[in-house]
Amino acid sequence: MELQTVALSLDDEKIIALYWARDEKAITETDKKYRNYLFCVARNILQAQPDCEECLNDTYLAAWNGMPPAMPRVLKAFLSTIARRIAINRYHKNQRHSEMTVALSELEDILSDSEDISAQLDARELGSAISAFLRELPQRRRFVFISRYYMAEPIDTIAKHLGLSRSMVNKELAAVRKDLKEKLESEGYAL
Amino acid sequence: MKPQDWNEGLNHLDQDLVEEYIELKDKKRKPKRPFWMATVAAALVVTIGLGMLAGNGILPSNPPSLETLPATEPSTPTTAAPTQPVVTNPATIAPTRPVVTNPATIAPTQPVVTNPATFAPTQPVVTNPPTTPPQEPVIVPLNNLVYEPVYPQMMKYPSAKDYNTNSVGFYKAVEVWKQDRRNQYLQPDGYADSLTDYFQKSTQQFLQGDGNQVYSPLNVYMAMAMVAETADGNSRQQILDLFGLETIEQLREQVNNLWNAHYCDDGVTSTLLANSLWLDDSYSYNQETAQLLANRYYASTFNGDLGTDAMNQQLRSWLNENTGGMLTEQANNISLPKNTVFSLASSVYFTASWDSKFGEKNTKDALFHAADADRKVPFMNKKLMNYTYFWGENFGAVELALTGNNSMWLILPDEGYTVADVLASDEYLQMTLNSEAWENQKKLDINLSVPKFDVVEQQDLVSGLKAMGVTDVFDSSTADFDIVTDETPVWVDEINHAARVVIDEDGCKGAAFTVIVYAGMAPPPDVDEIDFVLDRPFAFIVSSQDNLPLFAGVVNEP
Repeated sequence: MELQTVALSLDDEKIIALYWARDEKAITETDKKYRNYLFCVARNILQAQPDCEECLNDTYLAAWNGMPPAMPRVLKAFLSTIARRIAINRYHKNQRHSEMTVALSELEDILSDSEDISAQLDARELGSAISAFLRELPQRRRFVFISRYYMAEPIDTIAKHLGLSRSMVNKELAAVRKDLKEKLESEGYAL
Repeated sequence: MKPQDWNEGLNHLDQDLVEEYIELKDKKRKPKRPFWMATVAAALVVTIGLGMLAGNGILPSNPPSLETLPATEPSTPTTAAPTQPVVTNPATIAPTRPVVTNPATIAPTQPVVTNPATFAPTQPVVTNPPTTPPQEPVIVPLNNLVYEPVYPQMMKYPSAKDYNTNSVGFYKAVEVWKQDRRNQYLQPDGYADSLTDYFQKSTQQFLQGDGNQVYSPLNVYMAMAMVAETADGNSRQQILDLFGLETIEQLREQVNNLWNAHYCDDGVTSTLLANSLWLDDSYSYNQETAQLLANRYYASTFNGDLGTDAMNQQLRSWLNENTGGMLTEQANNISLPKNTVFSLASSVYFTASWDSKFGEKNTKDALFHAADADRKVPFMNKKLMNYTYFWGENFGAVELALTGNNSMWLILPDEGYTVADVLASDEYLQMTLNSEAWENQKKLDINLSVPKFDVVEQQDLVSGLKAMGVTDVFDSSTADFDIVTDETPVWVDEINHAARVVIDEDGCKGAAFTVIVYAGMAPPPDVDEIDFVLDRPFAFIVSSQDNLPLFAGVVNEP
């Protein structure tokens, strides 16, 4: 019964319903509820503020175009996947230094840098190989991997989040990289 | 392998892995409540059961079910091609009503008896019975939610970060926020006058007994107001009489005022009120009544097979979410009987911090003289300089400020009197409701010593309400709930009220413990400094900014 008449942020189902109903309020509600979060996702990858703003707008647009037909189970995950993809694309365009550069450089040594391997492994296949690999990991290790290599979170953030030291997180990451390499090799990927 | 290829691959990561990550991330993020916060929560459940279940064949054979209430934003799909929305930057203030799901972080205080022999107590020193390990709060998806109210919005306290170096802008924003709060709190003068009688009667009624006592006058009021909305005739009138009102419109006005005077969710202090209506899907209900509860009482509506485990779990989950997990054990005790026709639930969740904290170092174990035995418990100590001391016929009192203009009254009966003696008169109530005008007050230096406490009580209010003149709703032959459903006789079966108040400390110097003795109607204490030691049963009231009692309780065994 406060004076302000602004509505509170809606449940995800309601927001999704707004998308499906082609109601532009869907965007406003999404922004209201997830702006800060999505901004962080973009920020980890992109760094520059104006880039992040644009990335956010593109994310909303993509969400608008994606729903329908999409009916996400977890809206936040759905949005962050989009935001990440858009931020990554933008990142490739301007190649600014960011946490993503650092995170990716850690991964580079897993697969050899030869042209034919890149050609061999199509992105979708690699995606499912990594997914399958992650499923076999303990939950915490999976969390660490996704935080670092998918969301490009700084080591410090991950350490703080898990209540671990920096070096512990680095150890986990090194272990997970080693396992991933072995796994991909054992699956017959010529490295 | 190039970074791009990796990223391309990661773009195709399975979505459920991302979902798991999000869930873990959010789970860890939940803020911890600072140690020194006073935390209070209450929940109340009113279940309304039906009589003569099978005997008279009243049950409809193929009952219509409640249609889903219209959502607040009916969004009709347009046939035109989707327009591209213009994405601007909407206001940065995105207030959300926090659904409190983390269980209370304040551990119940447990007195430790160390070497009782050295104190040579006249009475045996005992420890409280060991508390059962804390139960995990039930939190399940509320699948049977058919209507969720849109809560009123409250302007958030501005974040200094948003203003960076623009301090003028920040202070202007604070002013706007303050004005917003003032406007909300602007209730008609004397609107609460009719409540005094109810507070007095109910406090006396519900704070009886030996153990610790606590209840929430506001919570009971809200719940009973909803019962009045669902009742008709004399059933309704008796509730109006209890509240000193004549018509249901007056009650609605009062509820509106009370909500405004209490509901607070501005990022600094939380007083969250919530209501819900639970309907059994075997009956059809008057939509207007459900709609009215949704609109005026912000009641969420649930529809399902009441009495089943699944629905009980949802009810418990709703209670846990709306009381911050403070009443987990009490929520687990709630289960609706199979014959429930509908049920109402109402909750209050309050958290505020002391304006001036207690120093943790100054917390010392000392004896509390309970009725049956002495207990050694931790006392928080603080010196209050030039502080107002209040007294009455048979008690002394201080008012400790909490954020959001809330406060906690500590009321100590004079030696030779009991808490019941104090509660028997409405003196203490007049004092707390209108402390500025209270004659018996004086500025003193007060050495305050108060035990940490965690008081919880769960009680059935039926007999108490009957004693206060609300009788018809409980009797199947007189109860009149036709305006909700006329398919079967309905009466109120049970009113289960649970409340818990926890206080904690941080800060200050040790003070001597001495017992203050005042007998009879004391003259103003002619000293400049007194010790106010709450080392025997005392009463407390948590007052809102409007001085109305949010919670009232008696500490017999801290």
